[in-house]
Amino acid sequence: MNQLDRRTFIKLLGAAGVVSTTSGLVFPSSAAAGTKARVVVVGGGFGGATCANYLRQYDSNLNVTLIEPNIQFVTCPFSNTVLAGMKSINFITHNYDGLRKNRGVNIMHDTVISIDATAKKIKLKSGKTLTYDRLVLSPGISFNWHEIEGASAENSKIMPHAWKAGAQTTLLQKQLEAMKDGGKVIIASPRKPFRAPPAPYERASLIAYYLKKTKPSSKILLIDSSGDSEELAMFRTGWEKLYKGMIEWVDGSEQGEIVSADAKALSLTGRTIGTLKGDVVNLIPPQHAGEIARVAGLADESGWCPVNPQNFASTLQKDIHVIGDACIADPMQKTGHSANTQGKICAAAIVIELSGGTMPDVTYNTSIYSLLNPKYALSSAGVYRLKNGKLKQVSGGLSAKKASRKTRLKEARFASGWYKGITMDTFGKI
Amino acid sequence: MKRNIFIKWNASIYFLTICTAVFLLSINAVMAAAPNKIKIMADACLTCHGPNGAGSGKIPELKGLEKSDITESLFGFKSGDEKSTIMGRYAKALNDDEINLLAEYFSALDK
Repeated sequence: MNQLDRRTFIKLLGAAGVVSTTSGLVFPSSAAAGTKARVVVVGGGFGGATCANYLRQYDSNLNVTLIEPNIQFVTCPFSNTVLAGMKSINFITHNYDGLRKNRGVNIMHDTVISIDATAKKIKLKSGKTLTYDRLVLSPGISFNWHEIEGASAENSKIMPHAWKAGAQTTLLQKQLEAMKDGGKVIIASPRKPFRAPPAPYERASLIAYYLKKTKPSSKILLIDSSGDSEELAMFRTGWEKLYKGMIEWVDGSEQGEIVSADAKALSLTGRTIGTLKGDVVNLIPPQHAGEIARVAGLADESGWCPVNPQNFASTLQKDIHVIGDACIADPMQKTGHSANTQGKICAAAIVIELSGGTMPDVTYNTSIYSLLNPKYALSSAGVYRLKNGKLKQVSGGLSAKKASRKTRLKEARFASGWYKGITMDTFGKI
Repeated sequence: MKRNIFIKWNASIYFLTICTAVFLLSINAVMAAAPNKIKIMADACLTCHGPNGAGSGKIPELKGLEKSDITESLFGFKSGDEKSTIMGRYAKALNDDEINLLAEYFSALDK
């Protein structure tokens, strides 16, 4: 009888290894090799949640921890429908159960206070220290209050930005509800680049939708830092049809930019546009990458984080990736869809790199839907590819300039489908 | 004799260990799929079309469709022969190989 000794056993285990290697399309080689690389993802929005989710989908042997201070995430997409009374805040609120239960992501509700890129360690507010093999930051945006005299986090309780969804969304909605008929709402958009470029137009539209129903003598003044554009023209066509005379547009680009705000007087002042007073003032301040990215030395002089778009690795710090609104991924716009795309591509790149492979040539998709009312939507889409290390747009553009109401209705329905799809995809709901 | 029993027992332990290892690897096969070009590109579709391409609200499902139906739609969107709101803008970015492989991928998913 042949004795099954240790050597034979090891050979047999080797054969099992061959099984896993030959099914390489199914197993990533790092999984086959049984490595348990540790990836820490910071920030549980569209970028970070998607990245943590897909890291686990692409390699179930990875140890993935998502650090997010909040127990729930309130999305900016569809937050304008809350302002308009179309949806409740619960509709745009999501938890992390799907990522935890369906994807096996470790969720830590904590805040990162410092990153040691050399030692590959992060310190948390709770006092804990975590080590990582790869770190992915998706910290979103923070506000550059000092660019507008009189603007501050404190004063945003009077003149809400509602550009991070949650309490600010509810506050602005309550202010609109309390405003008298015949009142004036000012929306001031920030200097570019900022999160969700067409969203001030959607906000003006949906606030008009609400006011037309409840306080039809009211007006909206939109101080638009983006100036005139083809996209604006499409919204203005819609406003003419739906809210004639309700939305006044003011060119707030370049010299028109807001320079000071008076919370007591509820007024905003721009260099060329003078001082404008409202009954409700929605001041959206200038933005830069979320604080932790700046503290960790990942942002350049622009306030945003330069990355290699192939894997979203920081060009300033090793083994750290930055995705979502915080990174510079031009010409991709800063949107929830872009962050979701970047989360997936970053996850794929990390898994491929850890197994010694090369990232293939893929498309980077983005879109942003804007509702003008529940039955009228426009969209902007873009597809990008890497060419010589840079993202180049290969297709995309705006909705058809001239289209029937049926087409606009179809896009409104797709907007709802998109929201359901992206939130399920991001937060690991099945 | 005693020695022979020991060897048999020892062998079955080894066998069980291997079975367990293979079983654990097969669990991984269900949970994880390595990212390759088409997997990554197909996963991009799920943002709108929902988990597993099962559809999301009015956005149609992709999984389990006939391969020829998917290629027909995508080539139609790309050329503009098939009207669309947004898919034309996406399909124009895809080359013929990518369209065929994406169609194959989604048609192979269980309905």
